[in-house]
Amino acid sequence: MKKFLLVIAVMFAFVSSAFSEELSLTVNKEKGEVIIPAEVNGKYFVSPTKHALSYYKGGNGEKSIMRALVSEIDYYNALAEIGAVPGNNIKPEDMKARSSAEGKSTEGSKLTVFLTWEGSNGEIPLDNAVVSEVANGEVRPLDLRYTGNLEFAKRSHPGCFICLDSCAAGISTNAAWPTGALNNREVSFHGNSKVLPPDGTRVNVIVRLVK
Amino acid sequence: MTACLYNSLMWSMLMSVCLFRNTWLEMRVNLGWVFFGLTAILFMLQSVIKPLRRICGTFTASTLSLVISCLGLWLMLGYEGLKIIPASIIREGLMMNRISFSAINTAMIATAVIGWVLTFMLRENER
Repeated sequence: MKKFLLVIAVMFAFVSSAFSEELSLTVNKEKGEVIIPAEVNGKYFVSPTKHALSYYKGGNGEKSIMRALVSEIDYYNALAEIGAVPGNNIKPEDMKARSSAEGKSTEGSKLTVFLTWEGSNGEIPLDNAVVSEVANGEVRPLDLRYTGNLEFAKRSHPGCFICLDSCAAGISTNAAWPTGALNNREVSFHGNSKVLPPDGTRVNVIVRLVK
Repeated sequence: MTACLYNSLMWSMLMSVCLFRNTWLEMRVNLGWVFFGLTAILFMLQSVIKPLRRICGTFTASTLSLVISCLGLWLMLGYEGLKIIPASIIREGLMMNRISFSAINTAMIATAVIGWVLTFMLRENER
């Protein structure tokens, strides 16, 4: 019996260590750059999602194209540290908009996002790693902003780093698609399996402040 | 009982994938937990309700469950989706996001095949 319990304890410790990897953000003030360690979630190569990057321990950790291995609160603070200014103009009630015409676009400092991984052959723009399927065919490039939403992040802990539409939950969200666009099925997003590495691959998400 | 458990697993996966196709629900619910919950509920129902057990606890019912589930999953997901979505549901339910899809797919195929063989081998004992 003791041996059995010991085996169970060792297995549990092994499994826990395999799923509790916590890394840290790299902040470079001079370059205005934040590097986030993350992993690819292959589930969203074939299924739609509005989340590009979420903290793996957050509510949307498994609902995102990539899962971040650091907290979204650290990300919020890192963006402030490099001089970004949050828009804080999207409220939860704005998410009820029935179409983009009724919706609101995020404000805040403009950001660009790139990805690297072992064998990526340089920095890959996030735009290339995400497929937008637009109802009217008018594909819009990502226009990522420092939305803010710190209070919501602390209160509800969704874990959202980068949302692909304007959102009241994400620290950074996409001004190209106002709130309501997803409700009205004007656009849907999924990961680009032709660009991204396979499920589970460690990637670095590089966020730069556009000055 | 083996057939009842086998049917529960098959039906739960089919139902979970049906729910998965609703993006609103998929974004808000851990469908892996739904899968395991449904399996437990369906198994209990088949175990407790005798007429249901008499119908479902047979090798024929298990074979039908296997065929209908596989066909349903393939029609709903296509080949690419079939390789990813059922495995992602299980992975989310187990909350072990570092297990590869191929490892889960191997376990699922083994469960489907071995379970089906077991329901055949144990069919006399269960009557």
